Amino acid sequence: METMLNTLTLITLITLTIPLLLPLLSKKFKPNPLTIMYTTKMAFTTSLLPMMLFMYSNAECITSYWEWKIMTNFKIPLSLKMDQYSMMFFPIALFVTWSILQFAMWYMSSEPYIDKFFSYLLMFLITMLLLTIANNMFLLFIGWEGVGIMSFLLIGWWQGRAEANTAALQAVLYNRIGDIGLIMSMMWMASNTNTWEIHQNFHQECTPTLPLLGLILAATGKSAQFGLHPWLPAAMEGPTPVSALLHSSTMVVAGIFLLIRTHPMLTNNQTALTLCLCLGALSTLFAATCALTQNDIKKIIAFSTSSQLGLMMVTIGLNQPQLAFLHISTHAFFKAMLFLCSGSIIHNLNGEQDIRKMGSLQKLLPVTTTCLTIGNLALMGTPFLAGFYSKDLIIENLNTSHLNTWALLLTLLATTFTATYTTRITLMVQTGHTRTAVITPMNENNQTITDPITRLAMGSILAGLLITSYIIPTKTPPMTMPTTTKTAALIITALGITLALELASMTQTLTQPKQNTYLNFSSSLGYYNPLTHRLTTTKLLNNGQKIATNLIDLSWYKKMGPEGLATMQLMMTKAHTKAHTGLIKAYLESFALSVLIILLYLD
Amino acid sequence: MAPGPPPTAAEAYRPNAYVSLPAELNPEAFDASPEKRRAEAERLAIRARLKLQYQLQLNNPNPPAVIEDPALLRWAYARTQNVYPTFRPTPKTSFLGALYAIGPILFWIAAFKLDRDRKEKLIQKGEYKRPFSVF
Repeated sequence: METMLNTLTLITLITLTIPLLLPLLSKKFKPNPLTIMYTTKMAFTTSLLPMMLFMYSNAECITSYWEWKIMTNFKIPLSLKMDQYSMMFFPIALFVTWSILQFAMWYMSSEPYIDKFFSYLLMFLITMLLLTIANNMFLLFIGWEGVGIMSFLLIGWWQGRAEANTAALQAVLYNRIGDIGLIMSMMWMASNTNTWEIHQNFHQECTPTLPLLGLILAATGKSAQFGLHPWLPAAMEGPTPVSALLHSSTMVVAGIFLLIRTHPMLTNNQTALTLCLCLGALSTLFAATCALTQNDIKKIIAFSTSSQLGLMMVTIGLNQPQLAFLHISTHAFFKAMLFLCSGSIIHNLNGEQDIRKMGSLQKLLPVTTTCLTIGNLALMGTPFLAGFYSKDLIIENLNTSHLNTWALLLTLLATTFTATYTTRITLMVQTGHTRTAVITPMNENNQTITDPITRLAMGSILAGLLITSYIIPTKTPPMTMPTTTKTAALIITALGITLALELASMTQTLTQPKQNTYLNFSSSLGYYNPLTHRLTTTKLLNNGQKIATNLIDLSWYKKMGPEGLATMQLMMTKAHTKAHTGLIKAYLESFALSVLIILLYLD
Repeated sequence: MAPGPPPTAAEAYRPNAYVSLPAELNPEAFDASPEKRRAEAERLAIRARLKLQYQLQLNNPNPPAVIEDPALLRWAYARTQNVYPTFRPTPKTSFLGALYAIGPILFWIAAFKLDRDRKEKLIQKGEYKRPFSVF
């Protein structure tokens, strides 16, 4: 059984690397988008087999391949872990990527370097899958950095655009700050437990908080929690397929995935768990607040992603890694679909991304808008769609756990806001009178558009049911609770929807509203960017120049060292040259003095 | 002995705390030595020359494309490329230099020494749990 699992997973991975390796072997083979899409589709079908094997047998497997013998006593094997997380993640990621690649064939069809684009997406996918299947912090780090770099290259794809370059740089820098935490955890593991294998770092007693803080910092950077979050909305400068793949389904969940993998280290350390909980609650509410007043459809969906990532962090804080993974899986489907629908809308409106200039698209783009509705409903946690199975369980767990009320209230409020801004998207994009330009050549008659979107819609509807039916829960879910608690998620979502409907019906004309504190806070994204981006960097750089460069390097070291010595030498020289008169008399005097002293000594 | 009469208004008149004296009351300002006055006059002359240069360009009926402020240029040059010649060891610079150049060295010496001593004490007592690592 394990051999089959190993072999099939390896075949999946090798299938994916072929379009990148073959061009190195022969000049004739150049990957084109169609071949890459078919490769991913084949990898998807291949990855279904180990998943079904795993579902049938529940047999986990850790396989070690070649070991990097760099040092005696410290082993760095290339070990892959095939457990429920990686076996479930492979088909989901490949399914979503296949749909996105098919969509990108239409979306990026006018792109001159489309081959490079698809190769980049494939490279990203390979590093992401490597990250997922790694049993070793070393391999995980390779995957981690790989997805970071591909994110940089893909966000800055249209590199002539200054905003895209700034956004790519922002992504890299914020991820780097998170990497500090990851490297610190790796070093702690190496120096305290002498191994980078994840399963060998699980202790029975409480793990010290330091490495866990490092892991949480890494997750904060990669998964855009509050504090290191600005890069995610800025990453919308990249093309829509990039946003759909990286910044909604796969890359941003890497941080949460790291915490899921190392979860047994977190279980006994209540400080780390509470930190995750509060950080996640803050992130989810902050992102949901910012999403309420955004007008760019991609930005709203980006903040929605950020909010859901906060929710995943809350789940980790509740000691429920499997539930977090369930949310990752279901979220991938409907979030990618939301991005693809928005991509279709944007291209059909000739580049218009502002929802204030869209309306009444329900009749003009029926398939896209239907799937947009399905995605939005799934995101809100409508009963029995995909989002319900994960989101409702999370909120039930939240309500029945013994934790601080602040985190609970924040998360519930964020759920309401999610419903509100989602309904706002639906209302402004699909309903009402049309606010688009008069003649827009709009059509979605292309199979390349409708197939991926409908496929992901099927996934959004069925994924939750399928996953929960076939995966055995490792922790007991809460069974009994009062009716109010059980229906809490539904009630607050309904509250959010009614709020949005009321507000929409109150505004007939889209005039600029009067400014008030809350509107300003929300639309300027909490004032975070201007406060931190300039302040910290200018202070650091200014003080660094004043003290380290000017005062110490250029002044004191010079004075203590070369320049100061030179000044002293000069003083001594000047004092001596007074004696160099050039008169024979003086030199004869010095001869006489020396002879006298010698005679006195000889005496 | 009984306390004397309260201070008169003249005696109670003292400068406010944290406020610098105005030039008319500050002996360093009005009663300065000839060298200080000479230096002050030189500085004023330099400032006046620079201001004249700038204002000639500013009020020029055919102004040049870019008006350069010589005071700003000199300041920028002094702060970036002419650092050492304009450096003078004052109490402030000596203190800051000692704090940031020698301070960290002393700090880390103390930190490592204390850590080593703590570990040594634990080893002597027999309680030290060696980490399971090669590093």
